[in-house]
Amino acid sequence: MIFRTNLVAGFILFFTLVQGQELFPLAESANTVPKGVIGLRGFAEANYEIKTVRAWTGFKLMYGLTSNFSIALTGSISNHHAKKLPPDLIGHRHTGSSGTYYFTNFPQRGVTYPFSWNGFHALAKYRIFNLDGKNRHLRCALIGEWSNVKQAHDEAEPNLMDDNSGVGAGIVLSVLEKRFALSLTAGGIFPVAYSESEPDPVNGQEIQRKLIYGNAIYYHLSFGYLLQGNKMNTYEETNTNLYVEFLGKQYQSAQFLYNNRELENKNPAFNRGHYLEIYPGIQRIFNSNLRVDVSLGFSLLGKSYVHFYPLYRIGIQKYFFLK
Amino acid sequence: MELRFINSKRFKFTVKGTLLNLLLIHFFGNQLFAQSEIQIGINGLTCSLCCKTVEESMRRLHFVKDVRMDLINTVAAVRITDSVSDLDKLVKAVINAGFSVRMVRGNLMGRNWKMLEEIQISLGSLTFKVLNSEAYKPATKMHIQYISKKYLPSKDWKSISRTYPDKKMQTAGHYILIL
Repeated sequence: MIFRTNLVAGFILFFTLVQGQELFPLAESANTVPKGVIGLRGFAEANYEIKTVRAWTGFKLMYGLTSNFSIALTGSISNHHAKKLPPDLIGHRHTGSSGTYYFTNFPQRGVTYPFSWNGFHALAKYRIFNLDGKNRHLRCALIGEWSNVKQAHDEAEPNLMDDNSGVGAGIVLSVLEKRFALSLTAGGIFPVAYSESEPDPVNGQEIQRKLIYGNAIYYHLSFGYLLQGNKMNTYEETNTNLYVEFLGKQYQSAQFLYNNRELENKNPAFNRGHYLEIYPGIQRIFNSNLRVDVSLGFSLLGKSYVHFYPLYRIGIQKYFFLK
Repeated sequence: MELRFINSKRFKFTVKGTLLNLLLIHFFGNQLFAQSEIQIGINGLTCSLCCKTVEESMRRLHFVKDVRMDLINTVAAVRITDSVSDLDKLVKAVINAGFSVRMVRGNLMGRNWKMLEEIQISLGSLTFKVLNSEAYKPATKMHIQYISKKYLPSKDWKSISRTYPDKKMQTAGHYILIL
């Protein structure tokens, strides 16, 4: 714990003392896609879950509608979920001859699922103000999210791009001063419940299973430092950026309804929770356009139930300037 | 009273004012006014990716022949074609790329000409009123800054408006400052 605290303090001190590019690998910056420009981004994340590799891959299409308003659409696949909620999600105990007592069970871990299509995630970003100076700027943007992802997500923590349908909204503040970039994002996620039905193995009647996820608030604090690209006199010079991003989330507990009856929760992944992760990352920008970034995520405070650590993340992005 | 001289295909030189003003304006010989390059100071640029975005945005304009970005001083040197150019569109291209304009400067090339008092210069569809014609010194090249609310940070616009109160600068107006 002391080591982690020192690690955080060390990063903050380092990035305060030095003077980047606010092309954060994970957090949204307050910058919008330039008007009329198309951006393509492929990104993926993976982690070991016991002996299984849990992976997610997305493809994002971005477009700048106006000078301060851009939209993005992401389609993704992952092997995070089964087609239906795990069969052993519900535990039960016979209470004498009078009946059966049902409760939610512990989450499954290390089970292999096939890759499946998650769905679409849309993001709109509107820059509400910018204070620009020479080699510096302060910008603020509002973001809105929508997702039709509807996976059999069996944890309380909502994730719009990966697990849940729903909407989200947030605000981003980005500061850039010469080589140093900082961004702060805060927002909320409002997921839609997941429901499915299956025949009862005993009597064949349809059983309704519904998982109601709690809302969540999230906050991102990202620091960036332009390490290489000092000359800034040619587009051919490769830029290297170092980043450290802190991603935190607090979410409410989930409720599980079994034929419209709420079951007692014995599943820790259904509890409310809070965690803070740290992602050191490195980014290379080739020919002033092609971005390649790699990050590695660790838990700082608490942990997420939706992935194990370390979490490996990679992204490749390029802008296409239409004539 | 308005007197208009069309000096070249590139430029229109318009003189507006009273007869007394006009008497103070002298033109000798063959006048030629050209504006082939415009420098645009851009705020908010911090990296080569930003610069490339701005450059590509400006290159989309039909009258832009070439753009050279000075990444260190965050200034774009824009070569424009002989056809009528539109500074507003050039500035808008910078804004569309997600950045702000700090200043727009250029060189008016000419020879054997003088100007005094109130004059106006037309560039493309825009007409620019000279704020400080007293600063003019006869030369073949006149270094100028184009002034408009869109071409400057707000504080600089306010500062210049306060410096030239008699010009009653309009927020939608276009002006020239001789440097």
